[in-house]
Amino acid sequence: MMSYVYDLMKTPFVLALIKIVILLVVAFTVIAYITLVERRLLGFFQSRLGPNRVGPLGLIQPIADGVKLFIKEDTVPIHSNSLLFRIAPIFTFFPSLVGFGVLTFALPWITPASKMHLFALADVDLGVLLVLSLSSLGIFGLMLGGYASGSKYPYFGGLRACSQMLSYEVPLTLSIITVVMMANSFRLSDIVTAQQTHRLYFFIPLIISFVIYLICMIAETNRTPFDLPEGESEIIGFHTEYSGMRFGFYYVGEYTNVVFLSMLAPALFLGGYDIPFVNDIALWQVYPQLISILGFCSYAIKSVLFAYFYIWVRATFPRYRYDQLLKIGWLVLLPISLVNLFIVAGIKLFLLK
Amino acid sequence: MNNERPSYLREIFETKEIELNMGPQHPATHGVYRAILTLDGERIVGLNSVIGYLHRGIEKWAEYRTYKQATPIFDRLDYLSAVINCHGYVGAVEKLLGVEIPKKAEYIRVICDELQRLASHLIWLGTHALDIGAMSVLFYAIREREAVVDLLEAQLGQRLLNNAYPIGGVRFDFPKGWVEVCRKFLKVFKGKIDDYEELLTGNRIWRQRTIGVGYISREDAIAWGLSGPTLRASNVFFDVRKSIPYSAYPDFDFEIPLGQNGDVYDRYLCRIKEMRQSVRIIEQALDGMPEGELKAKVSPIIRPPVGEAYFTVEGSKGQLGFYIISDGKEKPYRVHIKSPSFINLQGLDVMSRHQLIADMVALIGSIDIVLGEVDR
Amino acid sequence: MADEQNAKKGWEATGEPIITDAVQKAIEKFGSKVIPYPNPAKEATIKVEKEDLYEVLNFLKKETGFDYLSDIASAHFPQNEKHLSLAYHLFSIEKKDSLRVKVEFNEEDLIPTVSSIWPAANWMEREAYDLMGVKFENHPNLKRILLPDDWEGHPLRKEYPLGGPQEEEIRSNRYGVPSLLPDDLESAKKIIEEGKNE
Repeated sequence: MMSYVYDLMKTPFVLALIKIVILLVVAFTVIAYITLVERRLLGFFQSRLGPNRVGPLGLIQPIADGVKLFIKEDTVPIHSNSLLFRIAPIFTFFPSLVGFGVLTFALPWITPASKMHLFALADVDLGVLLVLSLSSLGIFGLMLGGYASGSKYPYFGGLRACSQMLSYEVPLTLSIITVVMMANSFRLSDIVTAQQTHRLYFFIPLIISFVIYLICMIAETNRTPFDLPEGESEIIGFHTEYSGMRFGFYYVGEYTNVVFLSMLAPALFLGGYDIPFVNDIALWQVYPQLISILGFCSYAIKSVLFAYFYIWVRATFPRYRYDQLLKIGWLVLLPISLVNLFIVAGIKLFLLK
Repeated sequence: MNNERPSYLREIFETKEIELNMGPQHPATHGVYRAILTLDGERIVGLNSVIGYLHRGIEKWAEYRTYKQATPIFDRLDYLSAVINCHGYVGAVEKLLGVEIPKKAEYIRVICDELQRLASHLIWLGTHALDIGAMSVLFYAIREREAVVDLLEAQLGQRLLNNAYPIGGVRFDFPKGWVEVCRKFLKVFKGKIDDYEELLTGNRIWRQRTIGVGYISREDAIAWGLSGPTLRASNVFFDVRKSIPYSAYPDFDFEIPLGQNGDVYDRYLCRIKEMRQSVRIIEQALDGMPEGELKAKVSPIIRPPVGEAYFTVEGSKGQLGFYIISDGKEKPYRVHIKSPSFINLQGLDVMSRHQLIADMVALIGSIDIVLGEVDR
Repeated sequence: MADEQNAKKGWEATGEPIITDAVQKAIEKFGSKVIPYPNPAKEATIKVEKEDLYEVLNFLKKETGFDYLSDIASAHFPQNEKHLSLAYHLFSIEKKDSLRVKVEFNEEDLIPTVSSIWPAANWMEREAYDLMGVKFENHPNLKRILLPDDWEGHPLRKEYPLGGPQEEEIRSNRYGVPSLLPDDLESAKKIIEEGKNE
């Protein structure tokens, strides 16, 4: 019996299922706790405590929040487009969740019995493209939610969200393309491997792309200083009319995006699961399990750095205005990233043969 | 500063103006102020202010109280600077009575007034920054305001609505050790103002959001009767403390900060500089505190001579005036309040023309209205 | 009874009239149309008739530099011959000089608006109209400002009760008309159940 189960577990389909479950559990935990971390950190920045009442250090706070959102009444305004209003939150939430599937979290874990890759779910060869297209899908949730609410404030929020995400998608893509050109591959694990073999993280040669990525990353997730779609002191936001778990989907969707983009950034620019100052690949031949685990930790720390950056920026900066935001997107970031793209392409073509 | 949208756009796309109801339950209207905006896209082409949600009939109410009983009512006008409101009313009654206030009482009044101005400006700074999205400044400002309010509590017995002065002087001398604590606070507070400025004044986003926004010219500002920092930011020298000196203000050496451009940024700078000047005044008052009586001799039942008096103080929002008519009895015949927020709010119409919704939020924050004072 | 005697006398300010340069200029220009008015608090005050009000205020702004309208305050004197009064508090930012212009009139009189001289007067006049019932002529938007549009009466008039027109009604019916329940338990229960409270 046991051997039957063991054999079954080695089949790719079941293995993938198990990995999906583990990934979802881990991702949800991380997303839930980043809300807590953000609130505690904001408290730290703002000389106050933050939520610390539910459980030790407030550790049960995210669960309490979740329960609260679930048991709240789900209201649908009379003037709304009922169907769109109901399905819109799903559009923001699930595409960003799918993105986690293409990430590779560490070097393969090699056991004597099999060559299972435990730290990647679907390391597809067009990973970067998939990620980009999925993040474009996220716009629909915001736009439809704002439009379907049948109210003016969400309408403005939806309009702002739509134009903002569209205009920042372009520089974001262009900055990622330079990375793809350097690595010669769309596969995320190949991009990391390229950085490992060159012993050079891409944020050093591609510093302009890196900065553009950092800015667009914040704008893509609609957070301060680019949180116009939900500028709570101006137009309250595209989710004004939402309540209960549908609001929760938007809320969680935003943090999913934050976590996902913080996890993508190290893979693209900081060498992913590479351990700094160590020749990973050589050591991996000798101690595969150890390097896998250490690499995973290194990846986690790098991601946390980016998430911390998000929160830090939120505590520091005021909010941009709508027209200023679009001006920055189209008149500053787009030309710079285009020129950057041509320069990188030229270097790649003529110097790095 | 031409923010008007080119008309050809309207001809190509058949655009339509929409009306947006902002308030009375909007987080950025600082109370129950309601603005009905006519919008072209996100640009404001019309503004209709609706006020009166907080009208409590304070002027009517005061007619049914004796002069002494009426004092605490006026704390409820601008509930963020109750001390200054009280000074205004008490000063008007004293002017009508013709009482000479002892020098020491005047000094204590000046110190409490300026502390209250600091508290009020700190609340303004925090909420204004929060409106524009800088969240942390609010908490820093509240932290310092807490210290100010503690000082006021130690001196006046209450934190927020401290029926501060009796007619004829002040109630108490400073408690033991208060002066040292106050000096210590002022010393620390100067550094804290630098901190706020570090976060905002040079911040690119802050400057982009505020410079050139909500412009009002010098002539318009005077004609629309604005007062306080809102007026001074348009380069008009009008501060009641210097222009119509009252209390002990002529004794002190301080400056009235003026702005040049009359936009949101200049109003912000004016208030920040005003805080520094307030600190200066308090320090001078603490240094030069005279000895003497705390209260002039005023008869227990106050019956001013028949007549009228108009007494103005520099409130934290602007020129706060009390017009009292006496008929020789123990109750005021009529009390009229010139409330700076009310008049400043009127100027919003001029300032908000062809601005964006986001500017509107910055603007309402920059004129620093308190709806208790607007609606009375 | 003393009140009634006082009421018959009417309200009149005590003190001495103060003559400043601006008052002097106005007297020179308008002669007997401008009357210096007594004030116990030593504030320069002049009194004009409502027909001359606009002209005088316009002169004061253009010629004597009173560019800042600080306040318009209204008051109601039912015991006086003319029942309503307005006080315009002017200030000169250049000269740091203040002046009060008083005008007295009756309820039905139309007062010329000064919102064309000082735009600031717009809301001040609306407030005077709303709370005191002063009617202004040619005002761009003479509507109620602090009270709802459908409010009846003008609360700052002296005859208006503090608690509003319904004051008596509210006070008398707030807890119902007080009555004692009978000692008999059954009939007391009956009264309570039927909601009778007589």
